[in-house]
Amino acid sequence: MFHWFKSRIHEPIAIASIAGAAASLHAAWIVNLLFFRQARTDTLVSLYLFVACVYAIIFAFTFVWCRGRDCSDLRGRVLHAFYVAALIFLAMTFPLVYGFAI
Amino acid sequence: MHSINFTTVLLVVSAASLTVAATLSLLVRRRPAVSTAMFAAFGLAFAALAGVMIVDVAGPDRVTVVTESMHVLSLLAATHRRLLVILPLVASCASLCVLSVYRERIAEKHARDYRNAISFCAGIGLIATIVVLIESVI
Repeated sequence: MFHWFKSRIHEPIAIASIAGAAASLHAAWIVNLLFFRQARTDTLVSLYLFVACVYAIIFAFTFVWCRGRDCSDLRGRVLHAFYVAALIFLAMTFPLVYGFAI
Repeated sequence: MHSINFTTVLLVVSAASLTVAATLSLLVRRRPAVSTAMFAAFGLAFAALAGVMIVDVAGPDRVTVVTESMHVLSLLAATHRRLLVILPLVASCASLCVLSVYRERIAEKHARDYRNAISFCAGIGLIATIVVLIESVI
Protein backbone atom coordinates (compact mmCIF):
# COMPACT_ATOMS: atom_id res chain seq x y z
CA MET A 1 0.00 0.00 0.00
CA PHE A 2 2.73 2.43 0.97
CA HIS A 3 4.76 1.51 -2.08
CA TRP A 4 1.76 2.35 -4.26
CA PHE A 5 1.34 5.68 -2.45
CA LYS A 6 5.00 6.61 -2.91
CA SER A 7 5.15 5.74 -6.58
CA ARG A 8 2.16 7.87 -7.43
CA ILE A 9 2.75 11.41 -8.64
CA HIS A 10 0.28 13.97 -7.35
CA GLU A 11 0.50 16.20 -10.37
CA PRO A 12 -2.38 18.51 -9.37
CA ILE A 13 -0.21 19.74 -6.48
CA ALA A 14 2.55 20.74 -8.92
CA ILE A 15 0.07 22.40 -11.28
CA ALA A 16 -1.64 24.19 -8.41
CA SER A 17 1.62 25.46 -6.95
CA ILE A 18 2.72 27.03 -10.23
CA ALA A 19 -0.73 28.48 -10.86
CA GLY A 20 -0.79 29.91 -7.35
CA ALA A 21 2.61 31.47 -7.87
CA ALA A 22 1.47 33.13 -11.10
CA ALA A 23 -1.73 34.46 -9.54
CA SER A 24 0.01 35.75 -6.43
CA LEU A 25 2.59 37.64 -8.49
CA HIS A 26 -0.23 39.33 -10.41
CA ALA A 27 -1.97 40.13 -7.12
CA ALA A 28 1.23 41.64 -5.71
CA TRP A 29 1.79 44.15 -8.47
CA ILE A 30 -1.90 45.06 -8.70
CA VAL A 31 -2.16 45.72 -4.95
CA ASN A 32 1.05 47.73 -5.01
CA LEU A 33 -0.34 49.81 -7.87
CA LEU A 34 -3.57 50.38 -5.96
CA PHE A 35 -1.65 51.46 -2.87
CA PHE A 36 0.34 53.90 -4.95
CA ARG A 37 -2.62 55.35 -6.86
CA GLN A 38 -4.65 55.82 -3.70
CA ALA A 39 -1.64 57.44 -2.02
CA ARG A 40 -1.90 55.10 0.92
CA THR A 41 1.02 54.79 3.24
CA ASP A 42 0.33 51.29 4.41
CA THR A 43 2.47 48.72 6.05
CA LEU A 44 3.76 45.87 3.97
CA VAL A 45 2.06 43.34 6.22
CA SER A 46 -1.21 43.74 4.37
CA LEU A 47 0.49 43.29 1.01
CA TYR A 48 2.36 40.18 2.11
CA LEU A 49 -0.74 38.69 3.73
CA PHE A 50 -2.84 39.36 0.65
CA VAL A 51 -0.26 37.66 -1.57
CA ALA A 52 -0.14 34.65 0.75
CA CYS A 53 -3.93 34.43 0.81
CA VAL A 54 -4.15 34.61 -3.00
CA TYR A 55 -1.52 31.87 -3.28
CA ALA A 56 -3.40 29.63 -0.86
CA ILE A 57 -6.80 30.21 -2.45
CA ILE A 58 -5.63 29.68 -6.04
CA PHE A 59 -3.65 26.65 -4.93
CA ALA A 60 -6.72 25.14 -3.29
CA PHE A 61 -9.07 25.88 -6.18
CA THR A 62 -6.66 24.58 -8.82
CA PHE A 63 -5.92 21.48 -6.80
CA VAL A 64 -9.58 20.66 -6.35
CA TRP A 65 -10.32 21.36 -10.01
CA CYS A 66 -7.43 19.27 -11.32
CA ARG A 67 -7.82 16.34 -8.96
CA GLY A 68 -8.73 13.20 -10.83
CA ARG A 69 -8.28 14.82 -14.23
CA ASP A 70 -5.65 14.48 -16.91
CA CYS A 71 -3.35 17.44 -16.35
CA SER A 72 -1.02 16.82 -19.27
CA ASP A 73 -2.46 19.62 -21.39
CA LEU A 74 -2.29 22.08 -18.50
CA ARG A 75 1.45 21.84 -17.88
CA GLY A 76 2.54 24.06 -20.72
CA ARG A 77 -0.24 26.58 -20.18
CA VAL A 78 0.46 26.98 -16.48
CA LEU A 79 4.17 27.26 -17.13
CA HIS A 80 3.67 30.00 -19.70
CA ALA A 81 1.28 31.79 -17.34
CA PHE A 82 4.00 31.75 -14.72
CA TYR A 83 6.57 33.12 -17.20
CA VAL A 84 4.24 35.97 -18.11
CA ALA A 85 3.38 36.69 -14.47
CA ALA A 86 7.04 36.89 -13.47
CA LEU A 87 7.91 39.23 -16.33
CA ILE A 88 4.90 41.48 -15.66
CA PHE A 89 5.75 41.53 -11.97
CA LEU A 90 9.32 42.58 -12.73
CA ALA A 91 8.09 45.36 -15.01
CA MET A 92 5.22 46.64 -12.90
CA THR A 93 7.11 46.79 -9.61
CA PHE A 94 9.73 49.05 -11.13
CA PRO A 95 9.11 52.48 -9.54
CA LEU A 96 9.39 54.41 -12.76
CA VAL A 97 6.70 52.22 -14.33
CA TYR A 98 4.05 52.15 -11.61
CA GLY A 99 4.75 55.77 -10.75
CA PHE A 100 4.32 56.97 -14.30
CA ALA A 101 1.87 59.82 -14.72
CA ILE A 102 1.18 62.27 -17.50
CA MET B 1 30.63 52.10 4.44
CA HIS B 2 27.46 50.09 4.89
CA SER B 3 27.52 47.79 7.85
CA ILE B 4 26.64 44.15 7.38
CA ASN B 5 23.40 43.46 9.18
CA PHE B 6 21.26 40.38 9.67
CA THR B 7 19.17 41.03 6.56
CA THR B 8 22.25 41.17 4.37
CA VAL B 9 23.46 37.85 5.75
CA LEU B 10 20.08 36.25 5.02
CA LEU B 11 20.09 37.63 1.50
CA VAL B 12 23.59 36.29 0.87
CA VAL B 13 22.52 32.88 2.17
CA SER B 14 19.47 32.86 -0.09
CA ALA B 15 21.53 33.97 -3.10
CA ALA B 16 24.05 31.20 -2.46
CA SER B 17 21.28 28.63 -2.07
CA LEU B 18 19.58 29.74 -5.26
CA THR B 19 22.91 29.58 -7.09
CA VAL B 20 23.28 25.98 -5.97
CA ALA B 21 19.69 25.25 -6.98
CA ALA B 22 20.17 26.82 -10.41
CA THR B 23 23.30 24.77 -10.98
CA LEU B 24 21.65 21.55 -9.86
CA SER B 25 18.60 22.23 -12.00
CA LEU B 26 20.85 21.94 -15.03
CA LEU B 27 22.12 18.56 -13.86
CA VAL B 28 18.89 16.99 -12.68
CA ARG B 29 17.98 15.44 -15.98
CA ARG B 30 21.13 13.32 -16.16
CA ARG B 31 21.47 12.71 -12.43
CA PRO B 32 18.04 12.54 -10.76
CA ALA B 33 19.67 11.96 -7.38
CA VAL B 34 20.51 15.66 -7.12
CA SER B 35 16.82 16.47 -6.71
CA THR B 36 17.16 15.96 -2.95
CA ALA B 37 20.00 18.46 -2.75
CA MET B 38 18.03 20.84 -4.93
CA PHE B 39 15.05 20.50 -2.59
CA ALA B 40 17.30 21.35 0.35
CA ALA B 41 18.74 24.35 -1.48
CA PHE B 42 15.29 25.70 -2.29
CA GLY B 43 14.20 25.07 1.28
CA LEU B 44 17.16 27.01 2.66
CA ALA B 45 16.52 29.87 0.24
CA PHE B 46 12.84 29.94 1.19
CA ALA B 47 13.67 30.01 4.89
CA ALA B 48 16.21 32.80 4.44
CA LEU B 49 13.83 34.90 2.33
CA ALA B 50 11.03 34.34 4.83
CA GLY B 51 13.45 35.56 7.49
CA VAL B 52 14.13 38.69 5.45
CA MET B 53 10.41 39.30 5.14
CA ILE B 54 9.84 38.78 8.86
CA VAL B 55 12.66 41.16 9.73
CA ASP B 56 11.16 43.75 7.39
CA VAL B 57 7.70 43.38 8.85
CA ALA B 58 8.37 42.86 12.53
CA GLY B 59 11.84 44.31 12.92
CA PRO B 60 12.72 47.47 14.83
CA ASP B 61 12.49 49.67 11.73
CA ARG B 62 9.03 48.77 10.50
CA VAL B 63 8.66 49.59 6.84
CA THR B 64 5.88 51.34 4.99
CA VAL B 65 5.13 51.47 1.30
CA VAL B 66 6.56 54.70 0.02
CA THR B 67 4.04 56.70 -1.96
CA GLU B 68 5.64 60.07 -1.62
CA SER B 69 9.11 61.49 -2.01
CA MET B 70 9.61 59.68 -5.29
CA HIS B 71 12.76 61.64 -5.91
CA VAL B 72 14.70 60.00 -3.13
CA LEU B 73 16.64 57.09 -4.55
CA SER B 74 17.13 55.26 -1.29
CA LEU B 75 13.40 55.32 -0.53
CA LEU B 76 12.60 54.07 -4.00
CA ALA B 77 15.13 51.29 -3.63
CA ALA B 78 13.74 50.37 -0.22
CA THR B 79 10.20 50.06 -1.56
CA HIS B 80 11.34 48.18 -4.65
CA ARG B 81 13.42 45.83 -2.54
CA ARG B 82 10.50 44.96 -0.30
CA LEU B 83 8.28 44.30 -3.30
CA LEU B 84 10.87 42.34 -5.23
CA VAL B 85 11.56 39.94 -2.37
CA ILE B 86 8.13 38.44 -3.07
CA LEU B 87 9.33 37.01 -6.38
CA PRO B 88 12.08 34.64 -5.14
CA LEU B 89 9.91 33.68 -2.18
CA VAL B 90 6.98 32.67 -4.37
CA ALA B 91 9.26 31.00 -6.92
CA SER B 92 11.04 28.94 -4.29
CA CYS B 93 7.71 27.97 -2.74
CA ALA B 94 6.43 26.73 -6.11
CA SER B 95 9.69 24.85 -6.72
CA LEU B 96 9.47 23.21 -3.31
CA CYS B 97 5.94 22.03 -4.05
CA VAL B 98 6.93 20.63 -7.45
CA LEU B 99 10.03 18.90 -6.08
CA SER B 100 8.14 17.47 -3.12
CA VAL B 101 5.72 15.87 -5.55
CA TYR B 102 8.15 14.63 -8.18
CA ARG B 103 11.44 14.10 -6.30
CA GLU B 104 13.68 11.86 -8.47
CA ARG B 105 10.98 11.38 -11.09
CA ILE B 106 11.54 14.98 -12.15
CA ALA B 107 14.03 13.55 -14.66
CA GLU B 108 11.32 11.66 -16.55
CA LYS B 109 10.34 12.71 -20.01
CA HIS B 110 6.84 13.96 -19.21
CA ALA B 111 8.21 16.28 -16.49
CA ARG B 112 10.07 18.50 -18.93
CA ASP B 113 7.78 21.48 -18.24
CA TYR B 114 8.36 21.14 -14.51
CA ARG B 115 12.12 20.99 -15.01
CA ASN B 116 11.86 24.17 -17.05
CA ALA B 117 9.74 25.75 -14.32
CA ILE B 118 12.28 24.86 -11.65
CA SER B 119 15.17 26.20 -13.74
CA PHE B 120 13.23 29.40 -14.38
CA CYS B 121 12.35 29.76 -10.70
CA ALA B 122 15.97 29.30 -9.67
CA GLY B 123 17.25 31.72 -12.30
CA ILE B 124 14.71 34.48 -11.81
CA GLY B 125 14.89 34.05 -8.05
CA LEU B 126 18.65 34.38 -8.12
CA ILE B 127 18.51 37.52 -10.25
CA ALA B 128 15.84 39.06 -8.02
CA THR B 129 17.79 38.20 -4.87
CA ILE B 130 20.94 39.81 -6.26
CA VAL B 131 18.96 42.95 -7.15
CA VAL B 132 17.46 42.99 -3.65
CA LEU B 133 20.92 42.58 -2.16
CA ILE B 134 22.26 45.48 -4.20
CA GLU B 135 19.30 47.68 -3.32
CA SER B 136 19.61 46.91 0.37
CA VAL B 137 23.05 48.51 0.50
CA ILE B 138 22.12 51.68 -1.38
